[in-house]
Amino acid sequence: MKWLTLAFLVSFAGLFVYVSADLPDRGDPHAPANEHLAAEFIELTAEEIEIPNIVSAILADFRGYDTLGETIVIFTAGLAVLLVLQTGYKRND
Amino acid sequence: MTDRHDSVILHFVVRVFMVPFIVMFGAYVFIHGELSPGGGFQAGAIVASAFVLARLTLGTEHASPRFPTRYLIWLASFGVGIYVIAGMVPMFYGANYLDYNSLPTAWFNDIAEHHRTARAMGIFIVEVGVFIGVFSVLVIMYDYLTLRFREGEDD
Amino acid sequence: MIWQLELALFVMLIVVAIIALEVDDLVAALAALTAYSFIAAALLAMMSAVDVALTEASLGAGITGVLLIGGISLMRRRSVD
Repeated sequence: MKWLTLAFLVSFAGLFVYVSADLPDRGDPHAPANEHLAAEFIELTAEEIEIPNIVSAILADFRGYDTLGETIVIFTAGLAVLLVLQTGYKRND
Repeated sequence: MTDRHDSVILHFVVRVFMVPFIVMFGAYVFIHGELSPGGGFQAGAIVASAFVLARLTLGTEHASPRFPTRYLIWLASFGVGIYVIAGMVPMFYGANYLDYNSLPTAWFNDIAEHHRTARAMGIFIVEVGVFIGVFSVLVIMYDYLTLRFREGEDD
Repeated sequence: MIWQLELALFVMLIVVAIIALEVDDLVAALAALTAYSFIAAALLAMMSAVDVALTEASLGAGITGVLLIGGISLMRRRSVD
């Protein structure tokens, strides 16, 4: 069973390597992922926001809702740790 | 894990060299977040790692009087609140939620004599909120994960 | 960029990941995981994704190790494999 799992994983890795030959080059501006919004973000950052770091502009301005949700997720994680592990309340048993 | 280690060299190196420089590097990453890679999230993690280092070596009771454990949740709420309120302020000026273009930041350009667009100022305010939130949440996680090993807990 | 260095980093990444899976001690697995995060940060920096690299180096290689050691020390049962 272990050898079957290993063979399956190795064949899967080989499939990934075979498929990755067809991927576009790293940083290719004509890749399908970069065709639609990337050029618009770069132009709008230079025109309207005027800061050099495009990543910060995208994270905090164009995708502000995402960063808000991310912050609330981190806050909820800290709140969950606090509520689970705090020792201020005694059990009534 | 939260005991105070009785080593003068360790205390000296941590207090004089490591923690101030890590905090300063975090402040650099935060302030230069619009110019170079960085921002509120990374700077919050770096500054929180400096505080966790101080708590690991100096002991939590000795390292935490400035930021006590039970007040940090207020600080985290304050950070998230900065973000939410900075998103709500443009709604009073008739714009959408999180639309920094109508934030009233023209007075800052007059004071600083340096042109910054309203959206850049909005990004900075939001990054302040993210910085405070991430920093205090990471320190909360460390403090409450090691709460069981501390003796004579006062809160 | 420099494909030899990148290949070496990828090989080290896979080796460290296998070590983190196969080692018996939980704290040793955690150290291997921290090394994994640091190598991943170096790889991301070589791919010129510097923001992600900074996040990975500060969170993954920095503070996650300490938090996970705190979590391990809270557990009663140890790893048996």
